[in-house]
Amino acid sequence: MKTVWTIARRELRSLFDHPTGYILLVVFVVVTDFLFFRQAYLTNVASLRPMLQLLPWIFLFFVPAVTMRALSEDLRSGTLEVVLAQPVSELELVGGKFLGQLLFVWIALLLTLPVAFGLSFGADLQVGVMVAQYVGALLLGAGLTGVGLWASSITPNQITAFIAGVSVMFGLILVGVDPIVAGLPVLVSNAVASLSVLRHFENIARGVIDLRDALYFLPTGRSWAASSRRSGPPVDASDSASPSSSRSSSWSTCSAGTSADDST
Amino acid sequence: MTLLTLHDVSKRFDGVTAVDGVTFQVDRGEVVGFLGPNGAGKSTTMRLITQYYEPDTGEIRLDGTPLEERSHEAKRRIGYLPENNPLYGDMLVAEYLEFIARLRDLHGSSRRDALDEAVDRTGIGDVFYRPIGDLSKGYRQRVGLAQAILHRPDLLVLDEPTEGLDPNQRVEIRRLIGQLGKDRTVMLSTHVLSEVQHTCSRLLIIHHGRIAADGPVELLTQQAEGAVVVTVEAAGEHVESTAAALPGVREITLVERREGRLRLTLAADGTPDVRPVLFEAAKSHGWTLYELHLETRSLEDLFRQLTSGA
Repeated sequence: MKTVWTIARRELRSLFDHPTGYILLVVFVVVTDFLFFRQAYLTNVASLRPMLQLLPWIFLFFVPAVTMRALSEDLRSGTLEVVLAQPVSELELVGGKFLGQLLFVWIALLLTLPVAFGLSFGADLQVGVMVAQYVGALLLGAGLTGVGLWASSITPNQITAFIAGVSVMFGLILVGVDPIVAGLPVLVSNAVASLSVLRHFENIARGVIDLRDALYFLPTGRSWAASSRRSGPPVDASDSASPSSSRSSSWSTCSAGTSADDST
Repeated sequence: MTLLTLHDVSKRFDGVTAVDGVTFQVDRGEVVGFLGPNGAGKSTTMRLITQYYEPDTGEIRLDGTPLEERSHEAKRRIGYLPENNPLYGDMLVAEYLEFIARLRDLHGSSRRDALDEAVDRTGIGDVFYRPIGDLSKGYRQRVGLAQAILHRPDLLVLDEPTEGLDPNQRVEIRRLIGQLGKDRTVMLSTHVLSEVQHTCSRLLIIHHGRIAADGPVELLTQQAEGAVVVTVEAAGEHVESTAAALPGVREITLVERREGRLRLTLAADGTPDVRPVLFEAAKSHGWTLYELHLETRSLEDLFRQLTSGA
């Protein structure tokens, strides 16, 4: 566990070592706050819901932008080899990476708190609802960070990792959108919808935390992150005896079942 | 005392055999030079030893214990500098070594001592609070070495530690490795022959994933220097068979046959000189001798002979 924390700390620190980290935070906060205030002034309703309802869509780009470096950078530069030569297991490495990235995403979320507090001065906000909304948002962050970390593990190229992350997350969000679900047979549509990020997050944005929804995000994040563990060690392109193409394929790309844990 | 044993270790990548049935042992206190052309399987072998790869077949033992049985224990006793010395460029030297020390489970005063010792031995005190990305290649190499020796490992595995350095830096790093090799076992790979002669006590030559030569550097050098190649061009009866039967001749190759003349190369012991014997043979058999030429061989020739062609 100590090892996981050591890696997580380095990860978090390296995110803040680059201007990119701060830029990401600023952009995230500005966009979410804008979405909130636009709605609040328009409708004169004091609610976090408009802001949170769009959170999956903002996270769709924000989370992969945070996580794209996580493992791909280590793969590219070879530092993975140094870290794995230390008494560190692959699960500890992935766990540390996940935790570090997640903390960054959570810090971003907490930076939107002033809006909520400000709101509570002017309006009679239900604290329970707000807490539930934030807990839900944190869970959403965990789920998507897992996906992002997995995307970062399949390639030494950050841009590819970003695009792969966005694609998979978009898929996970999209399967819950009404036009798609409506076109399917009832049994299938229920199953598909239960895979969707959006379906689970809708309730949370309202301030209702259903155990089923909470249980969706936790294993989702965990199992996506865990699937970024190597099934076999990557092959280094610099060793001419070993073709570089096999590097990415030797990282397990199994998409761990997100629905299995959902039937609770 | 044997520290490391590889027994019939093989590793394949997508149909390419990188390491093919390699067997060797490394004794405690040895400085082993691991030599071979690019793509011979040096890095793969080192990655197998440091558990970055798992062997497809065969077994690697550290102190008699198979690596996979006590993976973490083995990692604690091995220090590793990978090829191209990967480092986190955005960290300070201090942060980086601190990070490694934490991963190495070093705490409190033992961490401070380990850091002090590593910094002291590699001479990176001046750059301790500078970002790794700003350092010169020589200093970066030292930081990589400091990382490898931080936990005082029994076995130090260095993959091309002097690659890409200028001649002065090479000498410095070589001296440093020589010092580090005094109190621990070192295995270093290189394709620079002079380096091996200067720093290593034993030589392993690998080619196409197989061990092509294994022995103390002096012995291999001696063998290489002791052996001579004699080129003979003569015309006469039974030149080839007679020459092959002469004392001291190890091997004979026919280079060309032209207008009754034979051109042969003989691999022979350096002492006693095989040339007078050849001359006497020519005299008694009545050959016409066109050429009799002797070449001495160096370690470089041995390397080339062992690693060129198939």
